Amino acid sequence: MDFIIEIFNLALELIISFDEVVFEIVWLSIKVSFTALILSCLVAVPLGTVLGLNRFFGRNFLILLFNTLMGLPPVVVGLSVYLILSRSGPLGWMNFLYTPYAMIIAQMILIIPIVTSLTCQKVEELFMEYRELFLSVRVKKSQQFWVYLLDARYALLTIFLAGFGRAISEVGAVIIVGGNIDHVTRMMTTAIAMHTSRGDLSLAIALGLILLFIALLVNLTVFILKVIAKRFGYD
Amino acid sequence: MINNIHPTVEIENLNFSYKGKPLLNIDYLKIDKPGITVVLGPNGAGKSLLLKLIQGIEKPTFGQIRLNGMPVSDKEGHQCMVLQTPTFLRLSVYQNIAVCLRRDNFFLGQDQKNEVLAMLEKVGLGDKINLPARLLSGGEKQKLSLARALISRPKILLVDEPTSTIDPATTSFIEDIIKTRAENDTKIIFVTHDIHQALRLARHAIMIYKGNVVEEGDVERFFKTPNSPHTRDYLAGKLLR
Repeated sequence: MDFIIEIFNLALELIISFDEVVFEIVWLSIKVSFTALILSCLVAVPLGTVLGLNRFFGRNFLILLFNTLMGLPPVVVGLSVYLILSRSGPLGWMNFLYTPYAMIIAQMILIIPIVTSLTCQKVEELFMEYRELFLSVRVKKSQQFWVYLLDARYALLTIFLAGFGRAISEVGAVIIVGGNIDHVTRMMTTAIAMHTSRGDLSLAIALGLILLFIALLVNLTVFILKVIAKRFGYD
Repeated sequence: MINNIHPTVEIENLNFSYKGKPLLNIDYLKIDKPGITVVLGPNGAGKSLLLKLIQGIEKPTFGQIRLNGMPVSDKEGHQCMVLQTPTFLRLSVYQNIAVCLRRDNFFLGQDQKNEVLAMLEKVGLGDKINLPARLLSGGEKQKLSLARALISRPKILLVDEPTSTIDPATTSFIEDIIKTRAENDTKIIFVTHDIHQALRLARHAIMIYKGNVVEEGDVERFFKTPNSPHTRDYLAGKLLR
């Protein structure tokens, strides 16, 4: 028991003293995951909205596909991205392997299905809710697209945070395509795995606590957003 | 072309069925009198359905509805509808109206903004422009719903029982707005259960019973000497369904 307390004390010391190594890793993790989230949302939100609003041949198949991809195993994504970005792969000429760019691409592949599916579900719900309203006051279809997104803003923020949560806590894909290189591609999750295997538990626990804190922050933000939305009749 | 003086609704051989059961059957009906036309009938007679068909919200099983000689389309048109149970976007009072004015641009011009503000003043919601629309009271929601339909200056306004759940003062306020609009060349088709309201507002009345138009005509004659036994029973408060 004393051993665990001692490790926790060391871990807390690392956090409180703003240890350079720890916070370099944290900062890179946030940068990579946030960039992946922004780029994913640029693709997934319009895609989910189009899927939610339109009825066309193959729509159900696409919805099923994205729903299935929500549970995509990160190591499979890592392996696939590795094959594509490796020197002999189709995009090997870009030299992205073992760089943060490769990790962003891998995380995007994990986030896009989540944001697309959840946006599609939300927009479909709104479509049912507002169909009569838009027909009764003749809102143009091109305008409806923006109105749906504006109306769903709180729900969308929650969806984005779910995507961010998936990205920042993921380890399998980024370790394969990033390589866990010190000062270059070492993320919180990959560093925790490495330091645990080396027996450097204080650093691993420090990073684990920060990861937990970020998860708590994300959930707290979702909770606050829901309370605000409810309070102002926007839920 | 839209006639600016007397907009006309013409219904021919119209049928709407759900799972094979006919809910509305109209051989021929022409609504071309200026002012307000009330549609009366017991619950489930098909009054709201008629309005939704004219608006293009529902599609007929067969038959035709023409507005000023043009078939009803869900894309183009000069008619708007105030729904019986209005739905509001999760946006402010102002935004709920602004949405109806946006055509090609997402952002409104200054003239359009002023138009929205003037409309909100007109319906008595000038001091609530930034409030979330869903937090308004029942009467205020009906005012907002009416303002939303009026902002695009429809030639034909379809109104489905807007005052059934609100207090007399708000009812009177909404009736005044509707009467003023009717005097300004907007054809209004108004569904109500309130016979006194029908008498106050309308120049022309239509009685629907079990999906069929059983009587129509000038409102004075309609209430004094109804031809149809269903109308007589309805006006005497005997016809329930």
